[in-house]
Amino acid sequence: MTDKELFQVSGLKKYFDQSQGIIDRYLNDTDQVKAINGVSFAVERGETVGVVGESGCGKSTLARCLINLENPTDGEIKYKGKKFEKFDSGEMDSFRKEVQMVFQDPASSLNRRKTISQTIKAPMEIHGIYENSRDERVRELLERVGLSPDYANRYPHEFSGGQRQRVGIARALSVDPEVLILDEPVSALDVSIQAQILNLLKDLQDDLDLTFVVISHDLSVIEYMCNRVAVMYLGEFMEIANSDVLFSNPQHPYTKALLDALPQPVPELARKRKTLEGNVPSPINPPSGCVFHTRCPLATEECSESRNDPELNSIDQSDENHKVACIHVDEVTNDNLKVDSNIGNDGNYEVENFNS
Amino acid sequence: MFYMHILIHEYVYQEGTKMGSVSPDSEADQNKSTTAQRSLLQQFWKNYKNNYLSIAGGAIILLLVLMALLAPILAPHSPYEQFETSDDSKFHPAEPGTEIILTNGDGDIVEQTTAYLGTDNVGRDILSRLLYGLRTTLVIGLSVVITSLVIGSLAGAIAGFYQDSWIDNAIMRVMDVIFPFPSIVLAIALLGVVGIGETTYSLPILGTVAVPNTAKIILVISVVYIPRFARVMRGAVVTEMEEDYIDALRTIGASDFRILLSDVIVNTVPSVVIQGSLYVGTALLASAGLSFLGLGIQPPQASLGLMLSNSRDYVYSGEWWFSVFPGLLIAITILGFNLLGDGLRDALDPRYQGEQ
Repeated sequence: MTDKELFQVSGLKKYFDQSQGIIDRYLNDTDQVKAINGVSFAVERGETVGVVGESGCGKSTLARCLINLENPTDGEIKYKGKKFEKFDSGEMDSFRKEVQMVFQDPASSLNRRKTISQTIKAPMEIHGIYENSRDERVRELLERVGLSPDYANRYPHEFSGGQRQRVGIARALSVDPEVLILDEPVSALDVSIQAQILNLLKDLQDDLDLTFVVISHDLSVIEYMCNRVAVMYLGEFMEIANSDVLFSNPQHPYTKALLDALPQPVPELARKRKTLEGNVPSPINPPSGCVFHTRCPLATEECSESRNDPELNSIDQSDENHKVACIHVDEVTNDNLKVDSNIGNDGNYEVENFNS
Repeated sequence: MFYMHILIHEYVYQEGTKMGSVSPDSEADQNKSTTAQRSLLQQFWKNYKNNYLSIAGGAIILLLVLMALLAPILAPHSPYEQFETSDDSKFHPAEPGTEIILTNGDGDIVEQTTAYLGTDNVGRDILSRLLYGLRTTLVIGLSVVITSLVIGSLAGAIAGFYQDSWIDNAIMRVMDVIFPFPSIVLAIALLGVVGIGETTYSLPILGTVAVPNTAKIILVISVVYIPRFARVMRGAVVTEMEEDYIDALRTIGASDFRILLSDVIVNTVPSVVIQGSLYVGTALLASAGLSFLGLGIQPPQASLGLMLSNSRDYVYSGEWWFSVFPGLLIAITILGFNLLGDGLRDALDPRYQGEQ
């Protein structure tokens, strides 16, 4: 635990009760959706941590737990060395001020009956800051996120998706936060606008010394934004590594499959790739042992034994940050993997392969 | 081919100027940024006035309210004065348009005039009684709706806000018990409890409080309508709670109180207001029904329901004006409120918003 660590998550679990009826509740065991099933990681000041995974793997729940919208079923989250439950009201206030969230759907994240000026002012009112200069602050923020300050008195429906997302970012910035949790910040936007928003976020990070947690299903977004990436599958982390390492030297078979599924600019290469078979198992009843074994090309008998649920372990003494949850990780490193990884080590693989 | 070239050229050219003219936002929708800023109220009025039926409904209600308010000025006589027919000087019903006279105790003629809508079985001027009766009936209808709308939607909003909690269950189960009773039956039962006529209660702090009969009627009919508003409001709030902006407010640190009052209720009130305008008609009918059964407004006070009730015995004997005029006025009032309600719904419905 160092001063640099903002968030410290250990053994985080979040289950949701499935059945609601009274009869179910008293007669049967309630089904539980295991949205997050034991996740540990840390977020350091100034870095950008990405969480990537398929839809339904629990990444949004993780974001909601991080910002204390959901109470974890088990495990703990520490912010600046202190658990959420132990916060007094003053500490909760400063947490609510220092950590802000940008939501996925810009249409739903703004109140349709309030002007954007009212929306951006709300956090300042709640925290009682910028008492005498809120209007100027709104204009300043709008300009900062690339909108004309004259738009302040308009309603959300008068804006496009990208502009609304900019308003959402302005709202998050209004209380001078330290951490922004970006839950799929661009997935609802057109591709051309995605780049603008991502660049805006990067600029803001440089200028305001922000720490980002980026949740996304889009590997290219993650690669562009993040220093460190966690790959999530069925509520568990499969692999966590520095971004450059993860994309150049993926170790877990799931990570490899994900990278393999990226659209290739060269059609000839796309034909070679191997995709995963089958569907993601239900999070109500996840597979025993390693949750990925039902779809893993490397899976053996022992992977499905429940005592063999693999922990995240460092695979390389020289790289503490690279951890993989797979008992076959040695075979993977020996390139024994049947999944053909096209993502090469050097980045210019497409052209070479295409020429040959 | 040539034309196509021009078309493409033109398209590119326009796109280019578009990009150039909208300063910071290349994604700005040109149309939206050039429309003058319009408040939601203006938007509402624009939607509302396009519908002739809504305008008609609004005009009817406005006219009726003015008539009721100005009853003392508009009514040719007091609603309680008994007139004699001028030909035989007896208190018997006068047909519309006949001469009537008012005498004092000594038999001298005080006033001689025409009964435009006739007189009733004890010689009271129907036109005057209609105007005063409209007054009573509108006061009851509107008070019932306002009372039950405020109480019902507050209860529903709290229930929806804390969805599935004990407080939600407590509130909604009580509502479920009240809901299935036919309104008249429940109102009769409640009137049985509170009694008919003015009652004085001695209360610990307030001292003796006299509760007039009208207030009791308003109260019992309101109870009938509370669950309807509660259900509509709860449904609207539950939908609203799924919007991301609620989570955004939570992550900012807004209190439940603030979220509920300043955001959720503001957005859900239109749906109960629509419901309310439609229920004014049925509440009127319920109060008229109670009067008809002799449980509502007590004679000699004038109310449309009571007039209708009195006319029952005269339907076959030929005094058609007893029943036709109050019946017609009730029908017009209900029609007006229904048209108004439909117009409000169309104008406030989110599906119509932002399309112009």
